[in-house]
Amino acid sequence: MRRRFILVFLLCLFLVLGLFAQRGELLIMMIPLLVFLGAGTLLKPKEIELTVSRSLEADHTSHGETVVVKLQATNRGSKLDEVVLLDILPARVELCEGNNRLLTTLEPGETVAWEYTLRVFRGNWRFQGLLATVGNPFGLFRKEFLIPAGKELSVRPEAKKLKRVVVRPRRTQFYTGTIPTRIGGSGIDFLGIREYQPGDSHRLINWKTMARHPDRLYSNEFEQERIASIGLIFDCRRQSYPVGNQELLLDCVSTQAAALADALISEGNRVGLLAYGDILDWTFLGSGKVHKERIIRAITNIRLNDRDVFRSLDRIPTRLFPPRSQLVVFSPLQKKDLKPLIHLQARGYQITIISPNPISFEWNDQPDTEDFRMADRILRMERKLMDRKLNRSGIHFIDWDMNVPFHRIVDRHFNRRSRPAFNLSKL
Amino acid sequence: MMNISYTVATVCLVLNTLVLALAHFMANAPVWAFSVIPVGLLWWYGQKRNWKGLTHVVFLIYVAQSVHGIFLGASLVLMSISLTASLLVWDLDFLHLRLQRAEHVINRDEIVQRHLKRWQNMAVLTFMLVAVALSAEFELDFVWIVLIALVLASFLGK
Repeated sequence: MRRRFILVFLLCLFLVLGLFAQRGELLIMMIPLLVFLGAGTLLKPKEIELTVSRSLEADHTSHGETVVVKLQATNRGSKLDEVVLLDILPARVELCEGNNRLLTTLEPGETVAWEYTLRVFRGNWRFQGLLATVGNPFGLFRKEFLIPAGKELSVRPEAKKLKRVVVRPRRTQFYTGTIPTRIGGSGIDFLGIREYQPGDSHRLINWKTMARHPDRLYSNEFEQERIASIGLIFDCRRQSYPVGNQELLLDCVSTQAAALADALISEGNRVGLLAYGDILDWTFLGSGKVHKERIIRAITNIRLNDRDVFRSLDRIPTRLFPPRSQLVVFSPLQKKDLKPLIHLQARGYQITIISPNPISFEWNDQPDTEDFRMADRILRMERKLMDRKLNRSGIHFIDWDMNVPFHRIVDRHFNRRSRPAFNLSKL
Repeated sequence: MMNISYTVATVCLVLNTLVLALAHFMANAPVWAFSVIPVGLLWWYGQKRNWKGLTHVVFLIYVAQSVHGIFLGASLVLMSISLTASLLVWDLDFLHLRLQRAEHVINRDEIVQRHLKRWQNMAVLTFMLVAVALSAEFELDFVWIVLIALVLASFLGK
């Protein structure tokens, strides 16, 4: 420590000067410094026995909400003259009210309690514990101890409920769902009329047609409705997010991905998630409320990464998704991603890309200069070109203007009756 | 109570400056005596503005002036008082900084009170030891010097 070093340096200086100059006064002048150093040594911090308990206002909350952290530290050891307790905060939290650092004295058995408020952002966070720094009162010696007081906090993306999301994949599952399959069978929507076959219920007989053709019987046919397997692929490659505040854009995208996953699972579909960019983190296809939780938790954990192995999209493990199933890719997209995506489409998958437009995300923060307008035009043209290339290959590309609410994008692209969702017209 | 520590530090600083100037003046070095005052003012201003790095520098200047005073033949008692006061001001500055950095302090008054009490005892002990050292005569041989040097070196290692 700097103070101790200064003191020892001064003492040595006094000693050397006193000896060389043969001045006893200089040695006497060492006394105040020696007393100070001696007192500091006598009051040196010893081992501490502190127990800390932590309670959080909630174990899980939504992105951007505030959480009150309450801490209680009890001294089970000897008297502590000065102890600094620093609560080590997780990476993406913001102190709103109060303080996570406390200086106090603690008598044996004494308990001190304090609280502070944090604004928390998406992610699964773990509070490690408290860093207790015990120094002697003169600041000459210091010891640090890590007091465990772990607790986990899950901050989920705050997803707004989306209205019904209509998907029309090429292949559906066996189980009854909400997706019209254009195959005759049991269902609600009328599909057509066919000749009566033995075993058909009498209620299915179309009596009006029979009146016109009295020699034969005809049955009404209804459209089968099934569930689909939908794979969500979330791009977590850092280089895909060419904006100033990458984390904020990722938060926006993950929030809407959670909303879409929620809507798709609510429709009864089987949904899986692959976070592409870090280690291959996937959630197998599944349905139901528990699976919805699994998917939301996986989206909560999504982080940006720089792994070389995932620089290109051609490492997507296609075995995770059933053949000819629907894939929804959330990615701002890079130029080099077109080829792997076109290959994926050629292998029979039906791909929809929801691409948050980084230009619209950045636009509000940029100065309105000639250069910027030019750059904006070039980038928009590039994206338009990308859109055309993908559309020509049969991939449904949704250029998501970040200034438009996501539910409007969903309404426009998925819920239009006139245009079958997920590019059915291109089949 | 926080203000008490600040007041004590300021009073000690003024006293220290006056003692140091007086000692230099008594040693027929008026130029050096006057040179102490701007340094004292600088320390006081640094305290007011919370200049963290300044306190070490000014403390070292004060100690250097005390040593210089000894070479000029100034009173040893006054120099010891000055050095103790310098140490006190230096330490109180650090206490002030610690309390300020923590922002949230429980038992603030108690911390300051205990610190001042500790200093009271230390000052008494220092003056007693100085008095004993002045009245008695010691002869330091080589073994003692090596022993003191070793003790000092051990402080650095701890």
